Amino acid sequence: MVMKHFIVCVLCGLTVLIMSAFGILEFDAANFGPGGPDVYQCTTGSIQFKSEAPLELIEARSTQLLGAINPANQTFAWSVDVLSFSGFNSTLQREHFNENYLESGRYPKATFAGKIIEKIDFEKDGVYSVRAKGKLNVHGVEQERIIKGQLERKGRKLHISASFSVPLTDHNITVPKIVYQKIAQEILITVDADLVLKP
Amino acid sequence: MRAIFQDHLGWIWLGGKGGLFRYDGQSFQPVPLPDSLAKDPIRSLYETKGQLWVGFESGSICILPKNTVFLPESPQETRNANPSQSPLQRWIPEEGNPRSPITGFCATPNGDFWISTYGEGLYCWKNERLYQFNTDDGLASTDIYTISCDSQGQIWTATDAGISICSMPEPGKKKIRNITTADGLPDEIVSALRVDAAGDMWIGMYEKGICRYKTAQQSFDFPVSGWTHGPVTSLVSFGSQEIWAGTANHGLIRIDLQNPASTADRCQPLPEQHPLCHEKITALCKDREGLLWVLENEGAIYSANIRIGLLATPSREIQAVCVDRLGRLWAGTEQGLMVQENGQFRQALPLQENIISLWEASDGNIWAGSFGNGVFVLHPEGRVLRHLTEKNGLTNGSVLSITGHAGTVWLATLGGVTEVNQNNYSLRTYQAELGAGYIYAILADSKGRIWFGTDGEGLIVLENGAFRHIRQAANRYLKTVYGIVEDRAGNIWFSTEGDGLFCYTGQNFRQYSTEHHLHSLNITGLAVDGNEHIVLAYEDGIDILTPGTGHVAFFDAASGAPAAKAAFNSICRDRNGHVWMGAEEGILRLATFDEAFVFDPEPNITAVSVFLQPVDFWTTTVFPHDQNYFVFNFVGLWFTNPELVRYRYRLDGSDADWVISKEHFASYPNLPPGQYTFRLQTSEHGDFSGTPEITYSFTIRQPIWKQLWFVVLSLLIATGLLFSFIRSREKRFHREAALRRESVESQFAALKSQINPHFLFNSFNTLITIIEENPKMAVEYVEHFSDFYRTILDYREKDLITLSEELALVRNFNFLLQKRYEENFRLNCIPDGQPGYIMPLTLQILVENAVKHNVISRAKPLTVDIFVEDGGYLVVRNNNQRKIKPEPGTHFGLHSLVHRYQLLGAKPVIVEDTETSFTVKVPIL
Repeated sequence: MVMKHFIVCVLCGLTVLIMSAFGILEFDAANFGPGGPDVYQCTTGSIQFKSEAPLELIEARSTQLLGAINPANQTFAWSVDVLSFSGFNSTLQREHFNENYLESGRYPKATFAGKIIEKIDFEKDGVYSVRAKGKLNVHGVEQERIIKGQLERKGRKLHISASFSVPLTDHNITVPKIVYQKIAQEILITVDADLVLKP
Repeated sequence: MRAIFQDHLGWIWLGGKGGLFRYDGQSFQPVPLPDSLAKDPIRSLYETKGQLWVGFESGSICILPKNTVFLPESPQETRNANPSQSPLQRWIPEEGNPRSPITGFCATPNGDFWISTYGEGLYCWKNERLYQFNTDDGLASTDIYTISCDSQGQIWTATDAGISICSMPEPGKKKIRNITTADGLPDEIVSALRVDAAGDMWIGMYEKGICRYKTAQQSFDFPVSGWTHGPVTSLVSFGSQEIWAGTANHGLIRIDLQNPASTADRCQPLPEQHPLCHEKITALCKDREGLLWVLENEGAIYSANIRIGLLATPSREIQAVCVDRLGRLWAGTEQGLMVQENGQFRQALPLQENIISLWEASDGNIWAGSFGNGVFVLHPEGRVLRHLTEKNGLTNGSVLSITGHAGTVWLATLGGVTEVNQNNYSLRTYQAELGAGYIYAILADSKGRIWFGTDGEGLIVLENGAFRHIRQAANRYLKTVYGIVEDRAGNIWFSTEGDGLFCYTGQNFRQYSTEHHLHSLNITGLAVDGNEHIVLAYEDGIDILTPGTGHVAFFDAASGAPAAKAAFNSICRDRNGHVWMGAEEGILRLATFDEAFVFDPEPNITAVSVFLQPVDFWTTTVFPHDQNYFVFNFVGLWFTNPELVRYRYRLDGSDADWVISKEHFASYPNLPPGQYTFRLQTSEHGDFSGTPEITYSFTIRQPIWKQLWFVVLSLLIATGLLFSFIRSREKRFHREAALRRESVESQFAALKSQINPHFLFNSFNTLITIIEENPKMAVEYVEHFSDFYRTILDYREKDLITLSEELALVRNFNFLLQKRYEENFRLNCIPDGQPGYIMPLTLQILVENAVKHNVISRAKPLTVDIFVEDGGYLVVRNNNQRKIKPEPGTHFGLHSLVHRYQLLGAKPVIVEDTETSFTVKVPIL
């Protein structure tokens, strides 16, 4: 029983890690600091992770997603507090997730920052399919990733959504053999966020 | 068309606005595109691991899987085919597709796959993950024209801002080195890249033409100064000798890397009248046969055998050619001697002499033999040093051939041979020794021997000061010898009038004639090229003979070579191994490249059909017995001249001999089961020895009823069935016998008990009592009594009787018992009309047992109940009041009853003996 919880926790931790990686956190002062150009800032955002292993489905989400997109140079930054994930199958699972797998104490944030590959006309309303190239930092390990997503512009508002996978091995997240059946080797992340243009 | 590519099987693939096509030399087979990409132009094609990669203008990418089978349809049908049946598969990584045109693909030896785009930079597919290189990473520009992989596995990208050399040693770790004008690159805008055989990179630029980057020295060389041909769009290299550049508005430029002359001489554009001269070239490709494929902007596709080129000359009818040590081309004509300098021909002699032979002496002087006016000796710069005629002692004024050895020049004339000392011009003549006839050819070989080709006197050799006449060669009588050459191994090759070509190895002669696939016996010129192939010139084409294999390849106008009538003995080899031939229209050049080309058509099996249904023959090799009508479609890819391809095939297991055919298919109806191998060879000249072969092995299985395992299994099953049948029959017999025995015994027991003296005695006693008291009742009693016995006798033979019949019997029995025991015995019986069957006398035996074993008195009356219970049981129950002294009996009745029901296979008889009651439950059948 304890083992099961442990496994679940591990899994959860892993997932959270991945999720955090997607979120951006560290704002580039030059790009986003006061006095800079207008940027889109995240007002509401949610990030969700899912681990579909043969024996158990684990899901958790966080609404504490921070992020911004600078339309001038198409750069972006996202961040999420790993500890803010909730919705695990049990509290024990959540604990394992934070303590054993993502080591949230040492690596409290997961971030993704970079630049959008496609040239987007931020002056025009519409739905754009975009690819974001950047550095995904989860569990303190940085990986360059291209993440595909949808971007919808409506007036001063942006809505973005994306889903992608994060292999555990990419971020040095090790899962004991015993919990392999409970934690997927690739965690699926889904992100939804609304942004508003702010000076 | 924008992209052209030859795959590992030899097919030429073409892609562009019109879609994707596969070309076999004769027809273009369209490959349907996925619906969503039907209107999307193709920008690039590539093959790795047998998969064809297709890059589109939109950024989409498709893969044609390895070994995709194309149906042998006519192009018309394919065009009408449902486009959704595209064999192409979309390649969509999780990271998404690029949105900019795909300009190139490249697989590196470490397994990475690179994709270049015009707009998004470079992508690297590594470990199932897509990485992007753009200007933020240090890439020179995101607009990449093309990419190429160098010998170290690095990717070179051509951009408007120079070259970026990229690699990814580890996932996510990007290495980029930029090369710009600061590093010596002549032009910032790089538009074409091509790695040559030596591993160096050739660079095509926008304004400055081409240059080479030496990988080892990390430096540029071979710049072309004063390039006037505009932007370079693509490059192809032929060995280390030639580069061909496609340009944006000046067609094709040939760059001769060996020509030591000026830059202008090195870069030769197409002649003004050529249709491609002012066109934009979009792509170039070199195939395995050495053909150059050219895609022109408007969509035209050209292929050319650039190994054979025609150089236009101011005057026609070139009678003699010679290339000197400076690379200058000398040409003898009826109108005089010409020499080519700076790309232009000029007259080399003051007078219009009729020059028919040319030779460069070891001191660099050019000897020009004329028709009727002796020989001219020219200084390399053009001055005439000597003019020797018959007056000076020449045997004849017409000099047909010139050779030389160790300071001596030999002149073959229409009247014998003259030997000239190169330094003091002293003469010595030979006439009688040579039969005084015409000498057509003369050769000083590497061993110091002088060979003479005579008119009617055969071959003569001067060796150690003595002349030797050779009149017999390979059982042929030699008469006229027209040409003599020596190969590097020292073999002497000579052409004859009417007997073809001979090779003299020093020991023996070997003949090559039309039987050996020479094009003709009218050989007008003979030479050995730089790759030691024997070149035979004819008026209508050229044969190239590979001495090792005896393979002969013929090139004429139909195979992309220029149509030019080669003149008699107007042939020479230059220091680079190229062979030059004087012809009616100008000078033909047969180039020799230090690069191996394929000399035979490549056999390909394109489809295997069974009952006209194509099968996936790459993986399917076993067929059921009724799938036995095979059709093989094949093609021999020989782009040099597809018309010439002939097929030789044999189905091992069916054909005894090879079948030679021009058709592209072979059909085999009704093949019996067995092992087969289809062998296909292709040849472009009918000689199949040593040609490449392709095989397809397959098996047609025996029908299942002829396969050993099936036969054995069937026998086993049959044996088993028979055995179990016999067993069950025996068992049944056994059981029936037992039943019959039991039945007989039980009948016997029943009868015995009924005629049991006690029963009779008691019955008769009862009767006696009644007779006096009630004679009427007595009669009734006797009637029941006799009825009872008659019924017993009737039923004993039967196995089963109805329940009603049995109940009737018991009622008779009850009547008799009633009279005897009066109220002390009571039988409660179910009413008549019950369905079902029962064994005869069952109830009678049970009732009798009850009477027999229990006390019956006024104080203890006996009650027997007969009723039907759920579950199909007939129950007989009596109150249990056993006699203290048991009635002697055989215990046979009940036991036999149980046993008989068992033998019938019915439900078991249940016997319950308790304190208060005795119950027997008998199944109703």
